[in-house]
Amino acid sequence: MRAYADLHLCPPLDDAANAGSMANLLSELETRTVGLVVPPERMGPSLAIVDLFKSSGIDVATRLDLKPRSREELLKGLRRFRNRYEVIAVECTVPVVSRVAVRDRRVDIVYFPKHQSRNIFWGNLAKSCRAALEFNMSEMISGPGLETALHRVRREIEAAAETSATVVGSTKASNPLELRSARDIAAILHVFGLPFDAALRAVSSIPLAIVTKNRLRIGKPRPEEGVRILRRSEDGE
Amino acid sequence: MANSHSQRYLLIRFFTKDPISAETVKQTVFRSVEDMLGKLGSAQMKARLIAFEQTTGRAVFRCDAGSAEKLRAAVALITHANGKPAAAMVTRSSGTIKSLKLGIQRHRK
Repeated sequence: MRAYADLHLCPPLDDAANAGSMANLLSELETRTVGLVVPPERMGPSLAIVDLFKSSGIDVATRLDLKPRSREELLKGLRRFRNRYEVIAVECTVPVVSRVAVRDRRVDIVYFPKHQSRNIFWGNLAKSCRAALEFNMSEMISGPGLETALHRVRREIEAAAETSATVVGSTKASNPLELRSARDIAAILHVFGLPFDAALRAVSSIPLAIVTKNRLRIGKPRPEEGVRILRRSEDGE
Repeated sequence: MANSHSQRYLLIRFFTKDPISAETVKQTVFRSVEDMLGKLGSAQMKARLIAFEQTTGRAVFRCDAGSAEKLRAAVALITHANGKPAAAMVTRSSGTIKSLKLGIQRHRK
């Protein structure tokens, strides 16, 4: 059976009732792993909201959304936080940031906000993309201009398919009303032009692989440059 | 390629703050399908509301097997029902209504 993941959830960290409701719904939707946006100042050994998700049988990966306004700000953020988070995503609001973010291998996910009409995933940006391109459902369907948003999704999926860029589908939900089933997100991506297999992988194996890879990287002994950890033994040696 | 006569049953969970009626569910889904695919696409889909349970907010829809992905996508685009915020998501899909019911029972155990 396929395991689904939603790597972009941003519920208020202090609202346990909202988080509990989201966790129940996600459990009903058979989502196995979620990425929870945790700002650096709240990052600690134990967060109550994480335990809430875990008690519903959902694996939680911590995620940081970097929103840099310049190249320097992006690189500084990556240097500081890469080894503290399981998922690092960059919101590409400025073209100069997008160009660096798509190429930097420390970036797991890039996403392009709906309101940035001049900064889209296209051409050279798509060709040089090493990170996964994320489509956020709540951003896509909220507010006015659904047609424009869907047209843009179609163009970006076309560019990703042409250049074999990796695509990830998420919800960016902050409450239960913004949640969607991972399988439904795959259906949206497929209807808008992504091949069916790639659409299913975008909500299952690709996000899960990102989390697995980074968990190995965050683990204690850091290998040399160019050395990749395949697995660790039970005793952590 | 799906057989042109085969059908697909989808179990859709509606998440709203206030309870909604079967008529609202039907209108909301059909409007979303029409918004996405137009009247022609909607007619080709042959979607139909089979059952709705108000207490749990669960509905069973039937559609042409080849259009199941489109119905899923249209359902995911629902943000309002009767003017109030709502969410809808497909929790299960099956080729027969019998196996859909069996699937629900297995999930509840």
